Amino acid sequence: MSQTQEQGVTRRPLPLDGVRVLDFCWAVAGPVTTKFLALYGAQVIKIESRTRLDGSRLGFPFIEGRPGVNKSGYYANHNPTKLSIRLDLGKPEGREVAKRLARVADIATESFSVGIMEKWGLDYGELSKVNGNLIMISLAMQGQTGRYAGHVGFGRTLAGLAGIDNLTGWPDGSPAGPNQPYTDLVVPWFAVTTIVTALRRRQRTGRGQYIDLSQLEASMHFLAPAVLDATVNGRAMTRDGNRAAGAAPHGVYRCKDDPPRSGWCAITVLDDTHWRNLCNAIGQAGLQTDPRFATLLSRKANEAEIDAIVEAWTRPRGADEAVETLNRAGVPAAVVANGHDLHRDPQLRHRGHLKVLEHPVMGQRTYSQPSFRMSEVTPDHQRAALIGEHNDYVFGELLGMSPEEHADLQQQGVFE
Amino acid sequence: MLDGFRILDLADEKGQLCARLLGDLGADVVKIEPPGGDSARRLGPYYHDDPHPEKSLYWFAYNTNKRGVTLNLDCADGRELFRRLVRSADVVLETFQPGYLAGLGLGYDDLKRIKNDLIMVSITPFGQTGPDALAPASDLIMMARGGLLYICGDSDAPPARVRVPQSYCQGGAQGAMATALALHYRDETGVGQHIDLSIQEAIANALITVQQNWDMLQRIEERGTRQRRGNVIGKYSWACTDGYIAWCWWVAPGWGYKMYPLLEWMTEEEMVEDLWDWDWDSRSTNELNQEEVDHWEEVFTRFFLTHTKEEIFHQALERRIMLFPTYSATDLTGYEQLADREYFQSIEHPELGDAVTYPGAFVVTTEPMWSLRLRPPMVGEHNREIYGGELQLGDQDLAALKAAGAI
Repeated sequence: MSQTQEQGVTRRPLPLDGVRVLDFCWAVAGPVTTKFLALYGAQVIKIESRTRLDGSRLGFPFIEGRPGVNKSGYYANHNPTKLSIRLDLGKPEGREVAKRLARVADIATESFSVGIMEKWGLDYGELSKVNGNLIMISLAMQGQTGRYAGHVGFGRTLAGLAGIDNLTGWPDGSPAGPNQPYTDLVVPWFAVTTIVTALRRRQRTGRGQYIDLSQLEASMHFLAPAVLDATVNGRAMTRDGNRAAGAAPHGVYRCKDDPPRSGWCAITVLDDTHWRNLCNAIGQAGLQTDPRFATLLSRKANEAEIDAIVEAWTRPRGADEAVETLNRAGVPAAVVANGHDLHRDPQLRHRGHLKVLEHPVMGQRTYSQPSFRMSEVTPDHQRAALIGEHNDYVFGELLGMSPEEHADLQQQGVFE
Repeated sequence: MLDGFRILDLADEKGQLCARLLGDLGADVVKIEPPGGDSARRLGPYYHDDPHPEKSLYWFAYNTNKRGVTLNLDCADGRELFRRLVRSADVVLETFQPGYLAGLGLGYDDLKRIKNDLIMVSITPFGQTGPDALAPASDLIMMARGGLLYICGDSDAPPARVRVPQSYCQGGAQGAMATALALHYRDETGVGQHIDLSIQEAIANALITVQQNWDMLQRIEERGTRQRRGNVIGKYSWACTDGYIAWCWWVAPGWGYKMYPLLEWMTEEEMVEDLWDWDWDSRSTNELNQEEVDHWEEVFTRFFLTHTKEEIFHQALERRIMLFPTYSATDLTGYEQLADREYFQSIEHPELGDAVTYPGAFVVTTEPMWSLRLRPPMVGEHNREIYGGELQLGDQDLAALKAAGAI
């Protein structure tokens, strides 16, 4: 039962009502996984301590630009609706409390380097002794086994290993994938789907299980056609700017806007109709009969020339104006949105994509909603907890610790 | 496992990973293509570079663990067949323009009358409603509108996308998550529902802090291989003699010690210069100035340029330096770690007289969950099995439907 229900606030039923998650995760991939479990009804108990913070609490940006454990937008976005406790797993007493929590949990999640949970005696082998039908998932960079499983890493560099960087950018430039830990926002969708499926299996069989998810292996499914090009054709697919077979022009063009707008628009001419529409929209109807551009093959052969013609038209225009003109003419085009543009995007506004939540330290901030609306389910999206905010509820009410035991453990620094 | 669940997959390339992922976990997926085949069959690369609809590696990648039938929803007999398939379905997945299926009498409300607890999943570029719900789109357009494209590519060049369309993958994988949640909800309550997924929002959900940086500090996150870290910009991609590696420096109390193994290696090779003069493990990233960062980065740049990416990776493995090589897909197919875990999975393609090797299990589990059971279907391969066997249409009826262009 979640806290909101305990406080007497009624809400619509959620898919994961009654499911309790003991969350050892840190950084991004793990916390985003448990974020989605929390949004859809699970009670997620996130374990941290002052000596071992989730490092993302120290991730930029901070409110007013100054660091603080309850000030990070990085953290707040990936940890809504969870309960936060402080429990020092470095102390044996802390680990015993964690085991007591595992006894009343359905799911345990962790994303440490390989071997950490085992060192603490909190690996699946140990936790399944106190809770025989526990479902546990580990989200390590490269999985729990294999010769390099123990190698340390993080998402920004894993995108290099996973082949994403190599396929992003310009043929004559550097491998330049998303300038953020991108695989961290690939992995959670695989993890949540698997966890929910494992719950269903447990309902049928009565058995829990251990799930070893390798972030590398899950992420490679987002590049599967390139992997097949390697296994079948022996080819190392390379980055190719914005080119697309079967389409020309197909690219990103500079516009006139000043910051904070992005000043770029994307245009994709996918067929001859789009091409005719584009020629008319940019006042160059004559290009339609120009033998250099009349067919797809001729346009592909002269793509650089077309790009120059298109950019000569976009450059003196604002991206909004260019896109509106092209869309009205039936040409797929869009502003290349930066953070500012996302906030003013009319479609995202219509969908209510950014939700405002009040946070006691960070004030009213915007948070991304899931990409989907469910006709019967409204996600329970609440602000990120302050560190240790739910110590009393979890240790007192949930575990039923006596005041004496609580005070004793407090004295020993177990709840720091 | 999802065995026992039947998914009717009407999705084109925009959503095919959704049903494949659920099929990997055991669902019975029936891929429904228009006569002549799905548009994803026209996406490369191709088996041995032969651009044939039965040889698209793009199609292969996202349509394993599915059986395939053809069906023309634009004719009455096709629609009737579809309604009959819906009777035994749990999930209908579709990626048509909003309103298209409703216009054919096959919208969620119509199908719900056939199967009361049906789950319908609609994956579209901008969602079912809103000013741009019908706007034309492509992978590049969705990447642009969702905010991911702006932070891809070099800093001194226009934004450049990931060559394998990420909008299709993000939409499909987040759609699988939504479907799993809806199936679980139905198990608990008996109630089905309609899921309306916007790929633009799926891309926006693939951003770490882009919208927060604007909301909190009116700061724009930029693309490139250098990233803002507090008041300075630090580099993440480094050229070596034969490619690149991915790595960044660390300066933070209790974290900066992670720098020492690399500095020790550089010391052994007499290339460390003055880098030991900085107190990596006690200063805060927030106190740094760009001048000192630029200086370190020049020293690191000189060092990495004296080694190959494999030399650097092997030292990193031995010395525990938080670094990875920038791998291509062919590098990955030869990567020992993936071989140790028996990641790659081969399956016979009798029509090619060959076996094809696929990316394998995204989870390794103690109870059976993931499997590769079926190679991707050929156009209409299971028409007879499903229409004849399950719907009990006779061969004559099938021939008539074929002649009428319904299947």
